[in-house]
Amino acid sequence: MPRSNLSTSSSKRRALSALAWMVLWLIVFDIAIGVLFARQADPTVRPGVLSQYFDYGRSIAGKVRFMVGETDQTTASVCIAGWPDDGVDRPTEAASKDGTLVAVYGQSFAQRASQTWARQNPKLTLRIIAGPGAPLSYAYDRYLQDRHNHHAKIVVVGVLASAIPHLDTITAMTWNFERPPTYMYPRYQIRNNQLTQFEPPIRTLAQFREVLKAPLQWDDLLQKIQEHDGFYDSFVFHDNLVDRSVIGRLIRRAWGQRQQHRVNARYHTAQGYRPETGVIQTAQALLTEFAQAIRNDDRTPIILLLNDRGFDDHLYQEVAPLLRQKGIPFVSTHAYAPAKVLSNFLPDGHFIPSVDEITAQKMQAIYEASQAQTAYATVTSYEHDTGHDHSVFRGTDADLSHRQFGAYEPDDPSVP
Amino acid sequence: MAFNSIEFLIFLPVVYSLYRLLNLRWQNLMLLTASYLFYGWWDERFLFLIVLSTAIDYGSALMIEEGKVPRRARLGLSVWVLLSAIGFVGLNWQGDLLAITPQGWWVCLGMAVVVGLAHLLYPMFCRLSPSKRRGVFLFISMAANLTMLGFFKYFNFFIDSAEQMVSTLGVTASSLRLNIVLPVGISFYTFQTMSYTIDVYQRKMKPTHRFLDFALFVSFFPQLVAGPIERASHLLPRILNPRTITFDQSMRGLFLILLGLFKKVGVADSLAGSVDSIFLAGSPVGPLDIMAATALFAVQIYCDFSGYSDIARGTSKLLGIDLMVNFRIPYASATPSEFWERWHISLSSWLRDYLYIPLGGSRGKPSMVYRNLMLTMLLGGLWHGAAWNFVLWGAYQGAILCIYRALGITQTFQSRLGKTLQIGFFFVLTCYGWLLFRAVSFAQILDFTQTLAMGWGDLSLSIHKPTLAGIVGLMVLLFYELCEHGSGNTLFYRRLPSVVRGGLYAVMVFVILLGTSNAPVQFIYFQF
Repeated sequence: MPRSNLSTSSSKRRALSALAWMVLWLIVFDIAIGVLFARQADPTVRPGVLSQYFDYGRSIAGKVRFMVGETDQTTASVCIAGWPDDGVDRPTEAASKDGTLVAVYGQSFAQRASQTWARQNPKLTLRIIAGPGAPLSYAYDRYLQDRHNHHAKIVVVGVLASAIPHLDTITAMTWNFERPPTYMYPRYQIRNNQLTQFEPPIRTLAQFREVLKAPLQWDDLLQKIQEHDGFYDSFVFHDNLVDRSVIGRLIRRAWGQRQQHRVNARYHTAQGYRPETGVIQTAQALLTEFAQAIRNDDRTPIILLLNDRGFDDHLYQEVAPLLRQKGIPFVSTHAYAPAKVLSNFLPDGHFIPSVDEITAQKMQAIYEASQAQTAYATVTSYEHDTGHDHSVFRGTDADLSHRQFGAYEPDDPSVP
Repeated sequence: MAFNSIEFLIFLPVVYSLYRLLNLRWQNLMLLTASYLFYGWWDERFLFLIVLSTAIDYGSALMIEEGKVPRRARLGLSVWVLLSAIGFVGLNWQGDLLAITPQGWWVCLGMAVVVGLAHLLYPMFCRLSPSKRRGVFLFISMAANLTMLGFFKYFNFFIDSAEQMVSTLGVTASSLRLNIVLPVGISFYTFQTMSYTIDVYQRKMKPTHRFLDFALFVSFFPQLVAGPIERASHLLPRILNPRTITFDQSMRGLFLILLGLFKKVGVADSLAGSVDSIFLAGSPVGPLDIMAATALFAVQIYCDFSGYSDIARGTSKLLGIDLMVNFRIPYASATPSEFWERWHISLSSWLRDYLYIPLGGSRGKPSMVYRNLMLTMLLGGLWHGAAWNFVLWGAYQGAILCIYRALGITQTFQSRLGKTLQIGFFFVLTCYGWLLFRAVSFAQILDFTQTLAMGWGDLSLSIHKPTLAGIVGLMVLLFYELCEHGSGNTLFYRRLPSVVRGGLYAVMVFVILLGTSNAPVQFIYFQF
């Protein structure tokens, strides 16, 4: 055999042998990491950082089956959060006679800002209904379900910029696949200029537990999610053999990340939300209906426009003109906590406490104005004997309301 | 289409399989189609610029050398340009295909006028004396390429700068800013095609008559958007002549792709969050934060860019075409001149050959040499991006080169300790340059510099921790580069026992998988 052929074949042999070793090493890594960082047996205990890291890529179904137990005591808190039957006892009245009950609908961003507000103003009692990262559709739906259960005077609605694309979803599982909350909510769309609603297949955690146990019902649920949820991806959702391998889970996580990136890009670019997707129109219609429902219940709405990382002031740009026009009081974070400035955010994506402090001050200013407004309205109604209390928050008085609340927009330097 | 995308994962095996099935002529045609698809994946309108640049340089080179373009080629070029104008700019690929926009019509109409004019003027150009004709067509080629580059990359920058200057004089200028999208990699392929015309003008090479092959030279997808910036004298013969693909070449190609993905996905992307947490913080940060973020950025930009070059070289090697080496462990440099022989070699050698040497190079009085160095590095800085911090970075690099030259520090120390100290000191200088490069504004440069000089009262560390992939990747990279540097052989890994070599591959694959599960980040050099 010629010498060159000999060296080529030996080089081939060495290369193939190295490739075989590579495969062997990968199998060793897979098994070793799988053993060393196996997930813990109890879903209610928060896993170690590395265990959680290597588990992010497990299928949604695989994670949910593990995290949702028979009872709340055996269920991970993230899977309980957001459901109406989350077992939390919420106040229906203000804690003190001269206090005010504030109902908060939204997500952790709204929760944190409201809790800061309650620390600044001890007369406030909070009734918080929130789902992790919940979109506006969730908040609206939960308000409609909850409106007669309490006597709140103020209703805070948290609208998260990054959750606007999630208006095209019916469950948090699809867009938060790494540690999926399980709660579900309706999907609203504008059809023939009307806000239409698709009712979620499941309304309570108890129902979810039942479905999880029944394979046919589970398949039916997945079918509905697939049909009505814009973020659904079957590879990320379904449990299979991939769940058993660390490398398989890393690949699934990578796929899931890219899938989310792709789907998000359909709704939002660096320039703003894509109008053709219809989510902004839905958000505007929802906000209008939401504020109207709150006012019909003789309450003051405060809309929190939470412009979080990666979304600049796009939410503000899209909905502020409408809110001004309708005289709906709002606070937008973009002016005092620009989303492009990373120091405004904690590593987990929430606003830093000092931003929440400012948001709370602005909510307090709106609250005080609403108090003054109520007094003014009472006098007005007395003078004109209209007999309609709080009419200032309705219909023709919107202009007055707009003037009053317009001063509390964040870009106004007169606001503290 | 980016190298770290799922689309490329499908694209490359398809292209490779087709490539192996075809003969040279069809291979080149298929590669040209694939290259246009690869580039058009971002935005099909950008393809028109490449076609235009290709047609101008192809025709110019023939006119420079031969004084004529065959009738058939002229017609072919005209049809090619007009069809491209209609296909890539006229038609609306994002929506209704035939809903041509007014801008699209104007471009098509403008091109028809330009093509018509070129045909009208052709006999006149042919009658020019050879020396005049050579000069005219070199000028046409340079002017066309630089106009495209200038317009798409620098128009808004100069308008903004002029407006700012005028406003400092108390005059309010109305904004002329245009909504221009920067075509990906325009600086890379513009420099590549310019080198072809210059080489033909300088009689370093003969122009090619094979238009489609020349079009492939301009748009060859592995190195189209972020280099290496190839010279025609190096790449064109490889495109024109039959290629052989050996097993060793294929294995090396695959390894380079693995190494590139490891650097980009495993290391660079995993460090991006930490770097951003300081440079995009928007609030005061301490000196330790600045130092850590700058050092991590040094690693990030190296891994990002050299990772791209490795993947480009690996992909090209799979196709039997060797591209030039673009990086040689640059942070092992002890002097600035050594650094530029190791960092972005294809650009630094381009600037040396087509700018520094024509300016006079190292000949003449010291003041002239310093001027040449400063001009070259300033333009090198501006090449990177339309922003003053890049100009400042270029000036800084030029100043370091001048200072080292003035002090006579052109050699590395002989002793190991001396050399290590020299490398360490130069790394610190390099890092300050990266601070200028990465900064988001002049104010930030001033603020960070001030903090580094006088802000040592605050030693807190608020930088976000790098991800697991970043930490593991950084350690593996350090080990790999030390081995390569120590052995002085880029193929050192082939001498390792199979079990160790397999282990190295496995670790790289694993780090890539760790990195891939983070959010994808675009290649930094795409913006240039």
